[in-house]
Amino acid sequence: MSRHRDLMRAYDAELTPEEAAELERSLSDEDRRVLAGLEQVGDVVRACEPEAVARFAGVADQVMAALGESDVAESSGPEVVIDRGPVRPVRKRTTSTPVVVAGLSLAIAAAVALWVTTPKAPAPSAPAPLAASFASPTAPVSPSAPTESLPEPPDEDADLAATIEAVDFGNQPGSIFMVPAGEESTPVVWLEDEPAGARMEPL
Amino acid sequence: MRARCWFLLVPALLLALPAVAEGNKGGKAPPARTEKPKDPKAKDEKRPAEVELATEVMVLHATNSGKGIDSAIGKMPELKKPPFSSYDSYALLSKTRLPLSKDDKTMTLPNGRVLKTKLLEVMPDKDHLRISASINQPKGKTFLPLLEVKAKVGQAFIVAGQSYKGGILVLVIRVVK
Repeated sequence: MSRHRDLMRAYDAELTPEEAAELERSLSDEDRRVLAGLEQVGDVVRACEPEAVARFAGVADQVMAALGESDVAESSGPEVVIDRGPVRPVRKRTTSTPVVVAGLSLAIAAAVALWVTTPKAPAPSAPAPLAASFASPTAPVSPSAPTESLPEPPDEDADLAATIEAVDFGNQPGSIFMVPAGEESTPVVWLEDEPAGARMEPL
Repeated sequence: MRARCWFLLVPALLLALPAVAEGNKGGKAPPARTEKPKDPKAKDEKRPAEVELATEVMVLHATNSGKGIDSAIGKMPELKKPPFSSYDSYALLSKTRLPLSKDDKTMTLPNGRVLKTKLLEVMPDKDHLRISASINQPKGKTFLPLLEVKAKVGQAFIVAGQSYKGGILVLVIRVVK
């Protein structure tokens, strides 16, 4: 690899005289073939150079002109016309940018307005009103259940029936349910009592 | 010039829309919760109401003795609905009026336990009130340590299930004036 690099540097006349002399002394037949190949490549490149130069000479000037930092008229190179097919009409930036900005702003404003006006959902962890479960008898509550704080039902329900807001069953199981009574309902607290004979009476 | 107008108009819109939306939200919001009147006169008005209010406690004895529902109980459709309908006889053992006040009012039940009622609060609408009830066993453990009920005059709640003489006790507690 370094040998090839040395040969390329020698071909490009980048070696010092001492290095060039040393390389000249150590050239093998293979090295001479490589140098000959480089010469041929160079000939090909040089043959194509005028065409390539003519093709790309004006690109930089065109880019600068498009950026508004340079004037095409002051370009020193020959003007190159690149055929890119049918030319689309290009809109001026000054007209398209406000429309895009306006659209984005309106979208953001609409999103903000929607977010602000949307009613917030109740917290999922909020317990369901126990009064709603009154329609049918509920499962007995554990005897060790602590005092249950029951949220207030809607006013229309409160008008139809009394509302049990908290209950502590103590050591025995119990349940809460509603019993229909005509148009209204009556809340019931049902306690599971021991049979009278089995109850330990105080001494 | 036209582009400059756009650049001025768009931020103005951006700022104005949420403000308008917030305004609408305020319009839709429910009215502020009515706070309890702190007027001392309101407290004075509550006093007579407390004095007038009471709980009427009907103690019923539910059995399956085939005697039917005591006519003294009055109209109580609940007794014909489950689970009360599992007993075919209801006898009125007592009907007691306990004045509602901030102090405990007690009555002794047929099984020896003591029912205690108390007025917790008269609601701001002066129509509803919160009362508490508990059932204690003298010199024994508390049977029903706590029960808090919100009701208005005429409404009742039932505490049932205490064993008594081959049946159960059914306490019908109604707020009355």
